[in-house]
Amino acid sequence: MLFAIDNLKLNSKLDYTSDSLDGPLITGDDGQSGFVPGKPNYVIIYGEGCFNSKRQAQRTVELYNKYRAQVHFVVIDLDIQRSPEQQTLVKQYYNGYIPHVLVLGPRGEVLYNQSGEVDSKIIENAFKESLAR
Amino acid sequence: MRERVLLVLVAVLGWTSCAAAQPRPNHLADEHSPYLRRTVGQPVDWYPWSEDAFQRATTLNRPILLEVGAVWCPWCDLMDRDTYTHPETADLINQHFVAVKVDFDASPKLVAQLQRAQALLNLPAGLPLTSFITPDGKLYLGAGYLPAEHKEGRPSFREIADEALARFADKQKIDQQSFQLEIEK
Repeated sequence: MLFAIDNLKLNSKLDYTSDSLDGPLITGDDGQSGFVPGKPNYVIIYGEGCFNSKRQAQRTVELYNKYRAQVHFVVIDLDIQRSPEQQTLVKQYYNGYIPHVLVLGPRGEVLYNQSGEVDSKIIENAFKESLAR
Repeated sequence: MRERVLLVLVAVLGWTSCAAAQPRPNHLADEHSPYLRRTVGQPVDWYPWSEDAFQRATTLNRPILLEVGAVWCPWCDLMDRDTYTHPETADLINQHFVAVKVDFDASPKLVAQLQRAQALLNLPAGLPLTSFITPDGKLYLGAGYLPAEHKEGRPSFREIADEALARFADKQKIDQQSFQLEIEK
């Protein structure tokens, strides 16, 4: 049985206005989970000292608070050792640029796959498209 | 006349001894990147990413220590200030590695390749990026920020460097777990 990360929060110790390196950008329970089938999955791959990753982390937690019941969230921190499940996603999708954001459908089909920051509306549209199927 | 000659001689000798007291500049003096230029005076004998560096590593049969950082990265700055100016650490690097420094902002394609390589090997892949590479371009070990001394659960630079040297001696293990980089120097 696979569980997705839950209870997502921004790291309260972090300075989200700079590139400071103060630990994980997002905290949560079972933070090493990978893809979980059966629902859409939102995946963020980030680096701790990256300002763009921090901004995307803020959007990620906002999306989590809005869609937590319908979407699984996967948080991959490139600065710490990762579980085999997360490494599967890294090997398949990470191209060397952070942050990297993915939306996968319930069977793993790719609905969104881009490096860089992404407007939440684009992600929400991908969620809605997947949930409507 | 004799006094003048003596004065000139003293001046020349004085200049020579002053010059000898200066640390030998590394190989980054001709680089334009502010990140690379700020480390010109460091005791580590840094090379830019170049054919020369890989040739030297091949000739000396040493691993390459590759450091990727950026001017805006505070932990890169800390590593430059504390780790790479630490005399014993610099000696260790100069005696056992060929040291190469890369500016994150100046070489996005190269850095993406390096970060992806470390991510695929389940190593830290953020900045600073500290990589150990064979002379023929196999990335086999890596880390992020490394202090000069072991602190707050973080391994010291020496600990990781010792591991890098031990692994470098085991070619079979490197072949089993490494990432072959596409090297364009």
